Amino acid sequence: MKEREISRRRFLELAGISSTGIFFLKFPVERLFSQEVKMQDIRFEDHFEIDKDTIRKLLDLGLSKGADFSELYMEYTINENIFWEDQILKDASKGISRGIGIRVIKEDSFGYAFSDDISFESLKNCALTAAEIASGSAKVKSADLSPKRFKNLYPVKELFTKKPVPSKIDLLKRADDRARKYDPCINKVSASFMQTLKFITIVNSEGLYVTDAQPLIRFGISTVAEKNGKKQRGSRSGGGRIGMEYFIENPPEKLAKEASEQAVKFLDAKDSPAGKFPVVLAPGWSGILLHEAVGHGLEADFNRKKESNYSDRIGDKVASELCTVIDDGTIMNQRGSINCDDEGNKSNKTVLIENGILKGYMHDRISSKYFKVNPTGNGRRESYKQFPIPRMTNTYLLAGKSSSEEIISSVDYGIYTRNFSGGQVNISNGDFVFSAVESYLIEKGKITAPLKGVTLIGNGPDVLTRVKMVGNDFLLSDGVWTCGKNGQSVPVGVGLPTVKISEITVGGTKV
Amino acid sequence: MDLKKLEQITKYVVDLAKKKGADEADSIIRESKEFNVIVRLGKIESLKEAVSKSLGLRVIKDKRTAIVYTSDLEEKSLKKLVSDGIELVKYSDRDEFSTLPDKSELGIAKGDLKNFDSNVEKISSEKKISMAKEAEEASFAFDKRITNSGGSSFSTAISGMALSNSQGFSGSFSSTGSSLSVSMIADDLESEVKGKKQRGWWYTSNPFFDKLEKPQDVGKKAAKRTIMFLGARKVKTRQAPVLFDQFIASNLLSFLSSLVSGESIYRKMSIFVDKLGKKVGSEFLNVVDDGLMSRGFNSRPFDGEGVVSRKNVIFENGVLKTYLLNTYSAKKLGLKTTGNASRSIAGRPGVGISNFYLINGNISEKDLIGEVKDGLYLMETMGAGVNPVTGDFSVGALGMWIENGKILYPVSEITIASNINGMLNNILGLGDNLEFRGAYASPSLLIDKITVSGK
Repeated sequence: MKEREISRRRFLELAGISSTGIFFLKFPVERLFSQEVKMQDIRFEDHFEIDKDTIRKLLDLGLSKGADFSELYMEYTINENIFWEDQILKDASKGISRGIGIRVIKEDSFGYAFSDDISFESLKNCALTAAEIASGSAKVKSADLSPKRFKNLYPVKELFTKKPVPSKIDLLKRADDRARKYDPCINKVSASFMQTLKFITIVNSEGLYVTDAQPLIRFGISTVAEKNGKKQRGSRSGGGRIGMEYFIENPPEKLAKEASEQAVKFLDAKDSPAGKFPVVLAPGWSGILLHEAVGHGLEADFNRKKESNYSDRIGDKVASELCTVIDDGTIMNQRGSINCDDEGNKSNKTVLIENGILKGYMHDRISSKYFKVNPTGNGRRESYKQFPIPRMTNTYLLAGKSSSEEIISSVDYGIYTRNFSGGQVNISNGDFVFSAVESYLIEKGKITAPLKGVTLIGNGPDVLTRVKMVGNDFLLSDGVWTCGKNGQSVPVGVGLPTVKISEITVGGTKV
Repeated sequence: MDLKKLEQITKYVVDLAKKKGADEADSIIRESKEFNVIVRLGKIESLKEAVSKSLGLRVIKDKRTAIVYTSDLEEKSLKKLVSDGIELVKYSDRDEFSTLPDKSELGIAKGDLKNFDSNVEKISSEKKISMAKEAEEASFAFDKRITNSGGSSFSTAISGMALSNSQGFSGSFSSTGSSLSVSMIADDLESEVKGKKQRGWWYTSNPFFDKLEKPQDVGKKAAKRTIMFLGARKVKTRQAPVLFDQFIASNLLSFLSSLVSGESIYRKMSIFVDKLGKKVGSEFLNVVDDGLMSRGFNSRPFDGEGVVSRKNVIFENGVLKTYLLNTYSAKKLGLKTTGNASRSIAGRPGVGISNFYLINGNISEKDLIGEVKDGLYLMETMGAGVNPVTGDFSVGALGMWIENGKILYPVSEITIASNINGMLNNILGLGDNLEFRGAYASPSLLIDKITVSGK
């Protein structure tokens, strides 16, 4: 795995921000990422107009009906988007969303309330509403708040807020130019650049007090090719928890060329065969298979409730011994990485499956208490409007020994899949699908014709035992994935080397 | 919820934007009050309650557009919001189609749409919790093969929306919704062949609380649908007719609505580009979008731009009669808005449906099944494998296999694939069971010549 280098000075500068700052919007955001601002100058009251005493008061109100635990999650998020279409900048948008969510836990039940009205009256109502999960009188009091620091995993050289809008528009224009230059049959191009900066502070009745600043960018381009009455689309996107320096290594032209190439190449896509075939997964994006086939099934909430097909199976062989599956929230600048999860626990590298043996689950607070294990830093939420649940971060399969040539040439007739639009899983039995938007036929050991989009369907535990070869060409996909669960979306990462699966059902049309 | 006050805030923001130099502006506020309880194994797992409010402003200056939004509605912040919008707008390019609707199109439909139930606010938490419990209990009691619960959830929402624009339009409305859903897990412990566990669900949802199905019925239906899938197997790959049940047929309609959206058309992201007035499907294809339907899930007196609501015929006997249009997509295509602007706080107006449904047929579902010699009764799909540009369609499927007009056994881990163009022309028949369970609705739909891929 390639980790981007960060200088010591840079690290110190940024690590401070991600651990001690509270909410602070009186300071221009860009100054936060320089040394001009002394961290001790930053206070709750600068933005949320609440101080530590008020916070303790709210935590105690949460505990006032006899609950075991209370927590405040404060969020201030800045979103900026620019959207390009028909060779003009269609619109620019900017928004702010801020609010506070209060969670109160009694055993493994909890109450949750949130408010974007941050007056004391309103927050007090939230705390009392959440407190209703218990019935009785206060048993515990909140502890003194003690700030905690974490290593910063998303050092940023140039934060998007520092860059003037016109230079960002130029990125979109460059992408459009490159896409159209690729082939005259590209007749529609749209592109967007989405930028988010999220500040969170989490405090709880056990004295935890954590702050993080999470940047996230995503650049996307979509093209339509039209030739001889046939039409096809192509798309690419990339990004991560990184600054504008992303575009040095990943110029917009690169994504644009790939999107156009896809649209043009697939104009003549053939009907995909239907039935069971060997499938070779290309490195990178194919990691979506792991995310669906095993990832969700190893989220501990499903296992605590014994809803998952992996419940009570730690120590069992659940995959081919070629498979070691990791969930890793600590990869530098990755989309799925987090310094701490949304319950304030440090993110981790968690081994889920090692050489085919199930090692552990991904936890939030409630499940880690239930299983009596340490938190794994997987308690995540979409925003203050939601409560945390176990979620993946970056989930990947470790590299093996085979070369990709070796793997592809071992297939006489099968499918090679490169890019996907998404997937879904049935937790209780592990049946899952993933939809390939870029796949090819393999004939006599060679990649040949591009195929129309197909859905592949399999059963997670079954497919993982059918992993016959694992490549030495591990690749983490560029930052594009968003995972949805219980109505909450969070950014995640996936990765995989080339993998051969001996047999999987391919949803083509050609019988 | 004080709708008049919400209107006043949007008016204030629009006036301020005009004063600061905007040529045109409109502003929207959404407020919602939500409640949700999840019960599992008879115990409350989570209880959530909240009120939230946020405001969005669109500024148009010199035919350039910017969008700004915030969840902080204090006056100071609103002033900052307006100046941000005025600052941001200069970066957009001139776009001659960027404008508010014509004044003549603005308006508020008269009459009671019956989309607000004043009882929703009055139902006690205890009542909601006990309904969730009751549904789950009924599921467990239905069959001993129901071995676990994925939870029983009761939700209510009361939402308000206000919109003002610089053409002088100002309006607001509120709506309500209640829903109860149950998800269960079945396992056949006594079966000789240890099959897969299965998960199934059922739900009831309505703007009106007293129109919800009874909790016991929801629980029983969820249990029934779950145990139906026990012992599911794969079938051999073949071409076969597929009977989409009401629920899956309405999902298909949701995809169809995205293909007739004016946005998809001008972006050339649809198989229906240049197909207006042409026959694109069989005689059975009659689709309506009705913003004024009484007790509709998504009925509203005006759309997301203040254009008065109406009933639009989208397909008639297989002919595409109109696209779904907002002001921008209509102008791009040289057409008139159909009152289908959808509006989020954070973006420019998009295109969206109101109540979008396929007109009822006249054959009972039982008779439709009776017509199938060898085919699939489709109850669930997985994934989103559809290409709007080519119409190619491939998704995971779960359902029952039909032979000689009889439902025989459950099937899973299979896919169905075809092309939407072909599917719309291969409709063999429609059920007589149109039922509104959401903003999309359809009777059962029998479609021929779909590739079922399995073993």
